[in-house]
Amino acid sequence: MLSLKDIHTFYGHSHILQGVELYVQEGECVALLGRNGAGKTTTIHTIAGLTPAKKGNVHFNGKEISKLSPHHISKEHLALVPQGKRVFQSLTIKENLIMPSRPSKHKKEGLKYWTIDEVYELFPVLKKYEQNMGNELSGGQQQMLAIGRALVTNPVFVLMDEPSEGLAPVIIDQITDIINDLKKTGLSILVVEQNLKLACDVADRVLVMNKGIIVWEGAPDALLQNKEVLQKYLGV
Amino acid sequence: MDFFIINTLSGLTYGMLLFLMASGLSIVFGLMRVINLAHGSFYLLGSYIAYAFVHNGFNFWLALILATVIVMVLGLIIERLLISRIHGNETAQILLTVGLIFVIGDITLWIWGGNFLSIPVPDLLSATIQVGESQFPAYRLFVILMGVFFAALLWFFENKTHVGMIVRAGVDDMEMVGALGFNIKVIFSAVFIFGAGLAALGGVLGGPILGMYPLMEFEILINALIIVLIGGLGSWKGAFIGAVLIGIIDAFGKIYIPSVSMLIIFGIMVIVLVIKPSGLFGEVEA
Repeated sequence: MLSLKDIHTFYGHSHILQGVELYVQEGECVALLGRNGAGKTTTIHTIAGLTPAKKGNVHFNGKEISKLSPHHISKEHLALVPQGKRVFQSLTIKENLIMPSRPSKHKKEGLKYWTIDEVYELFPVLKKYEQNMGNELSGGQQQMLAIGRALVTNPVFVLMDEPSEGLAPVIIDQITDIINDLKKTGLSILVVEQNLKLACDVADRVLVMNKGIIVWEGAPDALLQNKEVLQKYLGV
Repeated sequence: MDFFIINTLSGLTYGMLLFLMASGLSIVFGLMRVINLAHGSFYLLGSYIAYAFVHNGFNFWLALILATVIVMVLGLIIERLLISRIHGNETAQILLTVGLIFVIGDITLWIWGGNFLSIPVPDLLSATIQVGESQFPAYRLFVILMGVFFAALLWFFENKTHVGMIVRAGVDDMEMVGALGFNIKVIFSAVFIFGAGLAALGGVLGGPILGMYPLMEFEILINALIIVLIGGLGSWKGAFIGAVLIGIIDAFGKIYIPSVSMLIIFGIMVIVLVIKPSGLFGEVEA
């Protein structure tokens, strides 16, 4: 469904992604792990079109998207849950959901159709505070809103950038459950994480990134038993 | 008492003209962090172009609409052709927009000359209104109402429409608005020409009151910048409050303490910025 071929991305003059190759199959949840500065967020931003690749191809649903602008990529039903949540502070919770909400045009069988009410059903706490401003939520609630905001665009694929960042362990467990629930609705997911436990709890397959390339790939169990990779690339 | 009311109304009139000018400047900055110093030139162009139409026999209202539309088209060309190329580069923005002030200023000087010009007050509003013992021109009252009308329109757009929601979200995080499926270039162009249109409208409405003369755009620009700093960058509400404040201080300051009225305005700006560096309603640090 999504595949990256020999992706090279630059930030100014620094060569961040140095030939990233990865794929995510339909209905699959893939976790991308790595240390700070390994290039995880840049990978997500490259796919979403925020920092386009200088070289290489991104194929999504059989279409080359590496040259498209972010809004065109979003219209291909690929949604972003960004690092740091980036909830709109001057909008109410409800407006944060109304603003990007759009009907689904894709014809994927069995994929859940997301309305604002469906999002409220998934996150009742958002309904409770729907008239509050975006900056009046806790970190965990903001993360829920960021996920809900992506869902109302009715994506077939969700990019999640460090959903556990800055959250308390009990909230991280909650986010883990939510991601597992979303998987069951048929969504394909690429999740970038530093939190090994969350990543291994949700992912069907794990990728490890270091210095701008994918250095290891395998099942979550295999990673947890591979002391060398854990120590060398993840510092565990 | 009459004196007080008349001067308050005069101050409000000037304030509303500044509001029309400053609100566009503020929204454009809030959305794209582009500081368009040539925004005052849209004001100037609006009044000169309307003058040209009125001078050639058009009625005031038609001239008002035509001048506003023409400036909006010019604004679109300037945005697409020049400003969109230098997003994120503040030095280039300053240099480009200051350059535009001189280019537009010289073009108006070339076409309309250096004399003081003025647009006649439209017949419909040439009457005066009795305020106690004194009189106040109906046209100025109309300008105040237009200012209030556009403030209400902006409020409605911002709070009650989907476009307003997108623009507010854009002031928070434009990149994220793009990632959610909205074409940010189109949004920015639209807001830019809307702001240019408001400035031009202010220019036309100000024509019968302030007139037009070379270098006027600097005077208007400086006041608008002060207003935007007091009110807060990115907030038209702040621009409204700031403009009313400056208009009234200007009106009374010129009477009681003419030598230092400008100083008071700067003083207020300093006090506001010391207490709240982002301005009264602003979210962005100046």
